[in-house]
Formats: sequence, C-alpha cells, structure tokens
Amino acid sequence: MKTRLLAAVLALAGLLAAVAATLPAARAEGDGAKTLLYGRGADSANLDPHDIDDGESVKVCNQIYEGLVTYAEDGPAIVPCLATAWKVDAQGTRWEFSLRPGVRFHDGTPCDAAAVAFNFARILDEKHPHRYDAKFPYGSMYTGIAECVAADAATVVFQLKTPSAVFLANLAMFSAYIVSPTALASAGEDFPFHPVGTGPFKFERWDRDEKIVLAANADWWGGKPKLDRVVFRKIAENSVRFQLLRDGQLHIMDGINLADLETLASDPKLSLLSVPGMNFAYLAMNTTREPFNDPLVRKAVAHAVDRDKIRKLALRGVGTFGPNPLPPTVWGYAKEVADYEYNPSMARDYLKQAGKESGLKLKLWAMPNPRPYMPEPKKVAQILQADLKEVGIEVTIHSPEWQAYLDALRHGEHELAIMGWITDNGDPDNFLYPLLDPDNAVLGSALNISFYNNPEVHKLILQAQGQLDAEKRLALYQRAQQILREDTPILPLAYLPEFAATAKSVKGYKPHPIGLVRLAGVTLE
Amino acid sequence: MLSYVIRRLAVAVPTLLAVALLCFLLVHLMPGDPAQAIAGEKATARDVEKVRKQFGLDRPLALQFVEYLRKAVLEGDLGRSWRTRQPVGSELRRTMPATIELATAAMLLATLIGVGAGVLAAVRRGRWWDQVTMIGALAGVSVPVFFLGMLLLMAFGRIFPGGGRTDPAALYELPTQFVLLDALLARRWDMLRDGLAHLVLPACALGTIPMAIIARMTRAALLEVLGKDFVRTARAKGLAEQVVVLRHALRNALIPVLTTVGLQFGSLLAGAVLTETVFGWPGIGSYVVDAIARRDVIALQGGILVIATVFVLINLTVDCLYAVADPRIRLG
Repeated sequence: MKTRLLAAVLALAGLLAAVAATLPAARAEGDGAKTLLYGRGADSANLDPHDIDDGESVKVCNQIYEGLVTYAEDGPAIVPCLATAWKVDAQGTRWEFSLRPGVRFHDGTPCDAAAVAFNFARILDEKHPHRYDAKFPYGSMYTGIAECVAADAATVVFQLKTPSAVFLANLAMFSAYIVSPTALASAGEDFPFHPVGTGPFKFERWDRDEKIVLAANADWWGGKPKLDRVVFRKIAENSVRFQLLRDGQLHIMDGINLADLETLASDPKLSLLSVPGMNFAYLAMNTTREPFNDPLVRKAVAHAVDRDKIRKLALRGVGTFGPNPLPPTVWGYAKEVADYEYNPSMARDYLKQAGKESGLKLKLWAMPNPRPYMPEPKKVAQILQADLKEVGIEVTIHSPEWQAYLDALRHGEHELAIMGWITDNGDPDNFLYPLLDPDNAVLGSALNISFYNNPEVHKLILQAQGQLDAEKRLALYQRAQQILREDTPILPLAYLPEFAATAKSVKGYKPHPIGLVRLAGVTLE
Repeated sequence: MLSYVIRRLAVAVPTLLAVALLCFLLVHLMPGDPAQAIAGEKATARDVEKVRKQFGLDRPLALQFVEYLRKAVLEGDLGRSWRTRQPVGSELRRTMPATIELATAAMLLATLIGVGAGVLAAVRRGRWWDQVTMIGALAGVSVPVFFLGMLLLMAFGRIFPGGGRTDPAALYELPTQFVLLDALLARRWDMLRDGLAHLVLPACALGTIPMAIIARMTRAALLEVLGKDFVRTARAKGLAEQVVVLRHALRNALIPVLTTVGLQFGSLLAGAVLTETVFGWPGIGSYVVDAIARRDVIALQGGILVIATVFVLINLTVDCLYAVADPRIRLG
C-alpha cells in the first residue's frame, strides 16, 4: 500500500521531470531566427490605425503602418516619411506633399497619391463607405482639412479651412497612418484583424490576449529590418513581466514598477533605458466650485505642496517638476516662469487673505490604479493630504474605480483631483488646448477638468494654433503660461521619463519621448 | 430518472434568465458611462454622443435587454465586443478552451496528489506523515494564488516557461483551440511538449487550493469510514489491510470526495482569474476582467452568461449523478 502510493508519487514526479528535460526552446535567447519578444501589459484593441486610442494598439500599428511625415528619432521634430518633401503657400492653407517613389503596401499595391487621398476621405467623410464600425477617436484633429486630393500620382494637396501650425504634427500621428485601400475594401469590417500598411513589419498572426506576431517586410523602402520577427506578448502584471525578462523569456519590456528600478540597474544581463518624457501629472483644482473659485485658495494649495518630497518619497527620486502645464521637453515650455515655492507660511497667508484660514474640509480624488504619468497615486495622495493638513486644509482621499473616476471628473464632481496627460504629438498645443481651454471644459466630457476659463488664455491658444511663424508662436505660449502661473488652475506635480528595460542582447533600441516604440533598427546579438 | 432530469432542466431555464437580467442590470448600472469608455479617455462631447448613437446606447434599457436576449436566444448572437470589434461568441469559443485546458490539468494534479496524500494521512493518522500533509494542506488552502504564482515563476521560471499557452515564437494551428488536443490530432509531439511545459506552472498554482481541500476531505471521509462496522468486519475476516483500505473503505469514502472534485472543477472554470493574470493565460477569467476594466458591456454580459451557464450545467450534472447514486433523491 505504502510502496504503491510512493511509486505513484514518484512516477508523477518522474513524468514532470521528463517534460522538463525535453523542453522546447522556451528561452528568448538562442532562437535560430531573430525573433524579438516584446512584453507589455495588455493586448491591442484593434489594428485599424484610424479606429484606436489605446497605447497598446498604437505600439503595434507603429511597426505596420506609416504616415506622410513622422517624428525624428529622438524627439517630436517632424521629418519625412511616406512624403519626402512638402511646401505650404503664403496663406498657410494649401499644403503640397511629394510622395516617396516606389513605395508599396504589404499586399503589393502601390502607395500613391490616390491611396493617400482615399485614406483622408475615410477620416474626414462620416458617410465614407469604408468606415465600417470604426469610431475615429482622433478624427476631430483633422476637421480643419477642407479637402485632400491627388494632384498627380506622386503629389497630394491638402486644402485647410484656416492656417494651422499643428497640421504637420497631427499628420505624423498614428491616426493619420496610410492603410491599403485594396486591403480595406476586401477585408471590410475584419480589416482591424488583417492590417495592411507600408511599414517595416508585416502582420502575420494574432492570438488574442496572448500575442501578436509580425514578420520583417523585406521590401521596406528603409531597407530590410534586422529582425526576422517581432512578437508582442501580453503579460498583464508588471512584476511578472519583469520576472520573465530576468528569466530570458522576453527581450524588451515596458511598464516597469518604480520598485524594480534598482534591481534592474544592478542586473548585469539587463539594460535600463530612459529618456525625459512628454507627459505630466497634475493636481486639478475645480475653478467652478468652492473654495477653488478663489485664485487665492488655489495659490495656497500650490505653495503648500512639497513636490520634492513627492519626488523623493513616492516616485523614488524619478522625474522633475516645474510651474508649467507641459514638460520642459516640449519646445513651447516657458523657462522664465517662476516655480511655486514650497512655503507653508505663504500658503497660510493666502488662505487668510481668502478668509479660509480654518475649517476647509475637502475630498481629494486620486486614481485607483497607477497610470504611466502617475505610477504611485496612493502615496502621492497621502503626501498631499499631509502637506495640506499642515496649512489647515483637511482632505479625505477618494479613489473610486477608474472608469467611475474619469466619469466623475468629467462631470466636475470633484474639488481637488490628481490627473495627468501624455502627449499625442509632442506639440505644446496638445497640452494647453485640451487641458486648459474652455472649448474642452464641457460638463460630461471635459478634458479641462479644472474647468478653467480665461478668455485671454483662450485667445492666445487659438492665435498660436494658426500662427505658422515658430518664434511668434512661442511668444504666445510664453504669455499664456505666465497667465496660467498667476491663475493657478492646476499644480503640475511631476514630469516623468519614459523607461524601457531590455536584455543586454538587444541593440539599437531606445525609448522615444512621445512613447513611440520603433523596432525597425533593432538587432539581437 | 428522465422526469427528474426534465424537472431539473425546467428549473435551470428561469435561473439562467434571472442571471441574464441580473448581469445586464449590474453591467449597465455600474458607475461610469459606457459610451464614454468606448469613446476613449480623450474623446470630446460630440464623440461620446456619436458613439452612444452608433452602439444603440441611447435606447431605453428595457429595449436593449429584450433585443440582447432575442439575439442571444434565437440567433445565438451575443453581439460584438466594443473594444475588440470581434463577435463575443467567437471570443468565448477561443477563451473557454484555454480555461478548460488549464482547469482540467489543475484538477488532475489536485485529485491525484490530493487523494493520495489524504489516504496516506488517514492511514497514518497522528503520525509524522499525517502531520506534514495536513500542515501542507493548511498552507495550500491559505496561500494567495497570486503570491504562489510569483513564487513558482521565481523558483522554476528558468526550467518551465511562464506566460502564454505555447512558445511565443511558435505558430501552431489550433482548429479546436485546445493546444494538447490539437497537438495529438496533428501528431505534433514538439507542440505537445511545448503545451505541456507551459501548463506545468499555472496548473500547479491553480491546483494547489483544490489539492489541499481534496486531501483534507479524503482524510476526513476515509477516517470516518474506517471507523464503521463493515470495516471492522472486513478486518475480522482476515483481509489484508491494503484490501480493507483501498477496496472497501476508500470506495465508500470517495462519494463526498467526488462531489468536492466536481464543485471545485466548476469554480476553477469560472475563477481562474488570478492564475490567468499571473501567467498571461488567455482564458475566460482574464477576458472578463479586461471587459470590466474597459466597460466592454457586450463582452462582459456574454462572459458572465457563459460562466453562469457552465456553473448551472455542472450543478445539474452533479445533481443527476446524486440521483443515479441515491434513489431517494430522484423519488423524493
């Protein structure tokens, strides 16, 4: 009896050992073909670039598709891509693009001016026959285009309704990537799962919630990529993904826990890469509600918060902070604006002037889960709570579930809330207009969740949108930031870097300030 | 017997309808506007209203429910996921096999080791083996699956692959969506090995709690039976101890154990969420969790409905098995 059971247990153990011994090549290293394994936290939603707004879909689309223009390797400067050159007329409304000759989609059809015009017709025309169920979340960025026509096979002309300084930056975004009209028409509503573009990698296979496999596009105009394949793997938990990277089952991962940075830096087989990012986290004060309808109270909060303590204690010394609602990596950042000094007694003075020196009791809204721009919302909220108590403002922390959180903030149910923003295109307008312009303070769908409404700032932002002269545009943004510093509708809490971790065998990869993932030039050694 | 089954089935139908209504209401009454969630974090008011119309969210709730039910029951159409644009039915046909495969492997492991350990503990009651197994079982019940999964990955991550169902670089065909079955059907031994290797760690993590429960159950049930008169009679007849325990006692003790196994299996099918999350296993648990996080109402409704149906069916099967074993139940 005893021996039989023991034998059974031993047999089971033997079976497991046998499986272990005959394991297939589960390691990321040592594969014959150069397959790069990229680990991330979620699967893509779909791969129709006109229909996406989640970062995980954008990551994959960046390898499959291209736009007329793109961002420089190290920043948001606009450089040629499918278009090799462009010119704009004196009025600033007619833009002419010369297309790169000989570029073909992965299905072999030519990427010519007709294909480009087709794509913009799809983006602009709500009754276009090839829209299917796509929701065009970034469609509003292109509504300034009156029409887009093919002047000849290699020339595309855009006619804008008004001059736009953000037109090129918007063209570089994924939402203006060029898809194959032939593939779109033949796949119909299944196109998001059979994507065809012109990029360095071709779509090969999608195992939902598990992996997306791309193969090198040998005919890419930029030269055949050095990798044979790229696999985007979904591993939901940051700590698990990190463990898999350490075990050699991934080559690159994003979404690193701040707590893992030290381990990562000391592991000889791994590299930690970082670059100053184009995101920021902020404390929004609802200017339409008591007590923050009084700028004095807003200033009091700004001087009461010790952001260096937040950086050191909650963010493990990562990132920087400053006075402006856009990070210093963005060209419009006004360097001459003075930062808010951490000074509790000054804060108390402001509260006294406002007649609110005691008895202020508020709710501080903090998101329930980490976001890329705010990896430690709970710790930051606790520090804010302690700092505000110091000057006599008592706050209780309120963290409902994420969708409910967003919903409440958009409806202006908060007085004080932690929020953040990641740029879409690296342009200063992409911070100031959505976050601080009254156009975006519509109750129920507000992005401007401080509901800040200053007609002068509104005027400056709109003027800058139409100002093609970079120097004049910069002056407008500097003026706007000075006014914002005075009005203090939000307090910027942190500007964070973009991180990535790779195995040492990965060469040629670097994170991009906008958060772009580009794998065309990456090699495995 | 047949009339008993029909009676039970008749009760199951309103149960499922109630589940459908309840989950529809829950999903729609959750805080957070689904139209806003679909339209995305950066959508404008106009975008949100467009989406609301496009997805029929502007219609009265009752109308939406009736329409949903009509399509689900009459056409077998559970709708299209808002997030992925895929039919929910086909997404469930993909995620369910992954979960069934994992739950079956975990249950096999749990039953084999759990029953074995339980029998040994009962036979050696009060001795060191008993103590060790029961302490092990207590630890097994208590350890959080997430923590255990991480420990397993840290300890064995270099031997067994963690994450996904197969080697990420491999491109297997999966006509049935069951990796092991498809490997056997195609006689792809490399694929079978690959699938088994990927199953080891998640199955161990998922199987630990049921294994501990089964071990404790087996021990308790066997101890009770071993004290019964017929066992004493068998021993008095001079039967070998092995025959007494395995042939006479264990057979009687197995009835409550089998019930436990059945119910545990049911809950594994619905509740492998944490294990699936840790090991990147694309099953129905992680599908439903993703759907909740993104307010993907259609996917969420379909997922919950299928999980509830599986639960009801397993309960029905267990009830029927009881009826087979015990005539008092079907005649009562």
